Amino acid sequence: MDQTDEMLMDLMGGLEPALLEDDHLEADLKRGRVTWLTTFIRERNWRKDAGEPAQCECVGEEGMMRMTGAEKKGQGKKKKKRRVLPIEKLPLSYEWGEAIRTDMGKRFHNSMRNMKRRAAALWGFVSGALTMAVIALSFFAIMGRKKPTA
Amino acid sequence: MTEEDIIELIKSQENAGMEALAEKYGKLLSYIISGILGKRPDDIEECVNDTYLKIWRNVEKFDFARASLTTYLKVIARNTAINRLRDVRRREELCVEGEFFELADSCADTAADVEGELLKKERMGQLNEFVRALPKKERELMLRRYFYLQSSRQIAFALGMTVNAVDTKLSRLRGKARAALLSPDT
Repeated sequence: MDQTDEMLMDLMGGLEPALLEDDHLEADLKRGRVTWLTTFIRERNWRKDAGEPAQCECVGEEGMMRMTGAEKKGQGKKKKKRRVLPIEKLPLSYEWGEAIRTDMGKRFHNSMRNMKRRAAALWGFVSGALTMAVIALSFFAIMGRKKPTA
Repeated sequence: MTEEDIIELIKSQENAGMEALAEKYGKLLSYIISGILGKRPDDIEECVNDTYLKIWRNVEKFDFARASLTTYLKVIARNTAINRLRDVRRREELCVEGEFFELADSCADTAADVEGELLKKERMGQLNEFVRALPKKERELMLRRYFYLQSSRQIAFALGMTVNAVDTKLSRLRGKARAALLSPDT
C-alpha cells in the first residue's frame, strides 16, 4: 500500500457527513439472493469468455461483454455467435457471494456423498443377501442329495 | 419506525429506541464493520455494540439537520472498526503485512504530533473539496475504497466492473487526489 493510499484512508475518517449521504451500501444489502444467483451464473459465463483471449473484450465501465471486430467480420463464422451479456450490479458483497457459492457447493457435495453412501449400502445389502441365498440353496441342495444309508 | 422517532426515543433514554436502532441498522453496521475487520465475528459484534453505545451517549451532540442518523452511524461504525483493528493487531501481536494494519499505524502516527494534526486538518478540508467535486460514480468508488475500506474485488462485484477496471480507475483517482492534496500552492 503506498503513502497516498494510507493518507487517503486516514483523511477519509474526517470526511464531511453530507458527502456520505448516498446509500450505496444499503443498496448492496437490499439486493436479493435470487437476483444474485442469476447474476452469478452470468458472471461465470463471462469469466469463461474472458479466459479466451481475442475473442471478446470486456468493457469494464459499462460492465458489458461485446464482440470484437474480428469476430463480427467473419473470422469466427463457424463459432456460435455470443449474446451480449450485461453484467448487472451484483446484489451482495463479495463475501456474501462467496458464502452462497461455498454453501451451494457444499450442499451439492454432501447430497452426492449421501447418495453414494446409500447406493453402496444398498449394493452391500443386495450382494450379501444374494450370497446368503446361494449358500442356503447350495446347502439345501447338498442335504437333499443325501440318501438314508439304512 | 422513522429515523426521527428513533432519535426521539434515544434522546428520551428509552430502551425501545436502541432496539429499533439495532433492528433497523444492525445489518448495515455489520456489513460496514465486517468489510474493515474481516472474519472476526466477535470483534464485529463488539464494534456494532460500541457504535450503538456511542450513539446512545452522544445523541445530543449530533446535528441531525446536517446529516442523517444513518450517516452518523456509518461514520461512527467506520472509525470504531478502524480503532478496533488497531487493538486487534496489538492483541494478536501479529506481524502480518496488511494494508489496514499499516493504516492503523499511520492513524496513530499522525495523531501523535500537533503539527501533523494541523496539516491533517488542512488536508481534510482539501479532501472534502476534492470528493465533493467528483462525479457520482467516481465518488462512490472513492468512498468504497478509502472510507469503507472495501477491497477491489468487493467493489468490482458491487459495481459490476472488472477488478482491473476498478484498479485502473482507483489508480487514476489516487493520482488526482495526490495532486490535489500535495499541490505546492496549498
